[in-house]
Amino acid sequence: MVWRALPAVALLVGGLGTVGSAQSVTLTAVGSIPGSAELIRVEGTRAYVTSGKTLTLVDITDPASPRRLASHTFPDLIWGLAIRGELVYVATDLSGLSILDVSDARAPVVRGSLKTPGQAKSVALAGTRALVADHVAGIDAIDVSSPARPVLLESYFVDGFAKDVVVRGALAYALDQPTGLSVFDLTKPGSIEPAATLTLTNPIPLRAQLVVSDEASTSRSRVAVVVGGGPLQIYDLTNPDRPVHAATYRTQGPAFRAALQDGRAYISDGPQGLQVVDLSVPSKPVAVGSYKTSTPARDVAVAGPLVFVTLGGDEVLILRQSQ
Amino acid sequence: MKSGWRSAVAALGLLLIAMPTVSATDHWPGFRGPRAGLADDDPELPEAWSETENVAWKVAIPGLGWSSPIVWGDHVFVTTAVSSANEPAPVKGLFDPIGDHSRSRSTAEHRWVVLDLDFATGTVRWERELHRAPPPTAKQMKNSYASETPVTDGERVYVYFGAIGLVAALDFNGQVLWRKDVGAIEGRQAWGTAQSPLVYKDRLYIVNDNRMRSFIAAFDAQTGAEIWRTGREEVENWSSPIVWEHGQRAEIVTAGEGRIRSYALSGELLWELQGMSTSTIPTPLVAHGLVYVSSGYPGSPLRPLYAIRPGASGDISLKPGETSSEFVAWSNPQLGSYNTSPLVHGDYLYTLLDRGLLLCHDARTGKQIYGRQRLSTDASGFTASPWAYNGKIFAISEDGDTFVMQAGPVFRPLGKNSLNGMVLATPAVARGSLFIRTSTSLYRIARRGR
Repeated sequence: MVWRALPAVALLVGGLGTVGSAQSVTLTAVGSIPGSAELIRVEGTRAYVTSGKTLTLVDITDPASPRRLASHTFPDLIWGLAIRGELVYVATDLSGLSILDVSDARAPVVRGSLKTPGQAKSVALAGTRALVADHVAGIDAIDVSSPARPVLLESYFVDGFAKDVVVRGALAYALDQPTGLSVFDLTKPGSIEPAATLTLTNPIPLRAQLVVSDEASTSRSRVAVVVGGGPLQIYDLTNPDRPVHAATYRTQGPAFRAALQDGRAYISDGPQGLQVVDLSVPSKPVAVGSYKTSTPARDVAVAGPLVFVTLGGDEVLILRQSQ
Repeated sequence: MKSGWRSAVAALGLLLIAMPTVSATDHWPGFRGPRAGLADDDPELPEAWSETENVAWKVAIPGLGWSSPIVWGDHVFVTTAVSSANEPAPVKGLFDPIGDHSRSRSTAEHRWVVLDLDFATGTVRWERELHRAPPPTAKQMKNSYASETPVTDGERVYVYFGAIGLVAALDFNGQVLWRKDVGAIEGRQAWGTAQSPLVYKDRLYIVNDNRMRSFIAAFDAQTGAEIWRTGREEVENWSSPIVWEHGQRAEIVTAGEGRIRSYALSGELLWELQGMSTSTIPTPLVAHGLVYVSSGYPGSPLRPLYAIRPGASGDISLKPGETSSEFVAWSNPQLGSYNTSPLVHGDYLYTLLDRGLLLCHDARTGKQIYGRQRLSTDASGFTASPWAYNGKIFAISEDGDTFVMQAGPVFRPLGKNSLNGMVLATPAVARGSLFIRTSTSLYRIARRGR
């Protein structure tokens, strides 16, 4: 297929002009955060970088000169985190959910924690509830209205291993291996039950990640992308009750993790560095940019014009994108 | 009092057992007892208990062992592995060990021990150490170095410690009659071992699935002489072999990631069926003239249960799109549980998923009677297999909470009985008592504590 050949073209053109109707992206290094890094999230002027059991807060007000603020080490491996205001909700494997208060960014403190039944892999926030992808135990709903005392409300048992959970508006999207994608309507009273489930077209990797776009208020289709070491599996969520497989897209590398912004997917593509794929038309993904990194790219976060890429456990590379 | 189901089966001459013919009321000679978790109905059996209610005795068991207790008359046998160091406590919950939570091998000296406790008092009648050394193999953080349930024929008690590759027979006075080294080889993921031995007539059978040279072997129960050994193309399993007696023959049925296989008592492969999940743990069971075999690793697309008719030979694997065949009465591609073994009581097959969900199907046809019913929202998980008596289904969580349900076509929870301590071992039932093993203690539960 034509679009399968495009990544190489995008790499060659390096952001010159457009690829088809999609605008190409030019990426330029502007700074870095030294130190071991695996996962990264960015919220406001702060980056949250994980390495094993440790979460580090970094001030990125000046991306050319990031400043480390503080670190906190949890009892267990950090698999995922969600940020709301001055609280960071951290999925810490067998230790479950921890809630870190970062109002004093130089002295974060754990406000509360809850050992979940399974193995906390990911966390998303929905009002006063935190939803935790709890591996064998499914999706946990946890009342976090009192951060000091999170309370397990219920668990929904997905068929396989719950890998990831994302909340967008009144909907939660959960990914389980091997079955696929479940959609939960959070407005329905009572126990959480999936409104729709979809068996994915390709096998779901062991370290799968689910990313869902946040464009519900725009004219763009809401899309979900599943990555984790294989091809991008792209789903159109325009009708939330009926997720539709839109495309499967192979990057040149292993496509470990992804972030979505403005209709584009930013992919940490292992030895191939960062790949940018336009998903304006979910069924026709188009490579629009790339940045070859010195060491394998492992995770990615996007915040406006800045793209943050964790590299081989050594540093976080900060790129600025322009069109 | 016999149930209608038992009477009907007996009348048809299809009473199929995996252990020597005994009354479940008197003896519980191996893993899950003579009838795969079914105990004879007995009004003396307890249906409610706690740390202080209906406890005849509670005895501390040294070390750690997830093997089940077994009972023969006045003898209650337990195996354990006792470390000379303070080992990390096993972790409750459901998880897929990755990284820090994967395998580890203790470097501390361990003692592999068999205990004989007095039924009436719980007093340790004798304790026999069979081996002392640092473990040569690793195990998953949740496993123990003594997870194989011993088995007895009423004359000898047979133990198998896969972690050290030791098979042994002891008399009821604790004297070691024979012992064999069958090799200690880790499985693919080095998560430890748990395939319990099987005694049938005058032979002891063990299955050892590992990453190098998996096998099933038969030993003379009296002398320990190896009679035959047959290789298996497997790399790790935790499912125990059973004997299936039916009108045509007796055969040994094994479940494995690669295939379900059945062997003649002489060791030849009789039939095999491909199409299991990885990491096969549930032990097959026999009822209604069928053998039920399942596996349910949650990460596998296929988590099947097969109900297989007797008399097969060769490869009876289902073809793509098939759910039944001449020798597969019915199958369900998603009915396998991960750790627990299924239970058949009366007309119904019960599946206890590890997260605490119970399902019920028609045992003969596979038709769903009821779908997933949640036992608890906050249980750590369920690893021990369910059991039944007096028209009730029992399921014990890793937290030590036993959930009691009415047997039958309607899910009806009746109560919860709690003990302190982590539970992975499947309980035993004998002589009007229930035996529950926690990580630290063995309880005899009996009405009015008698």
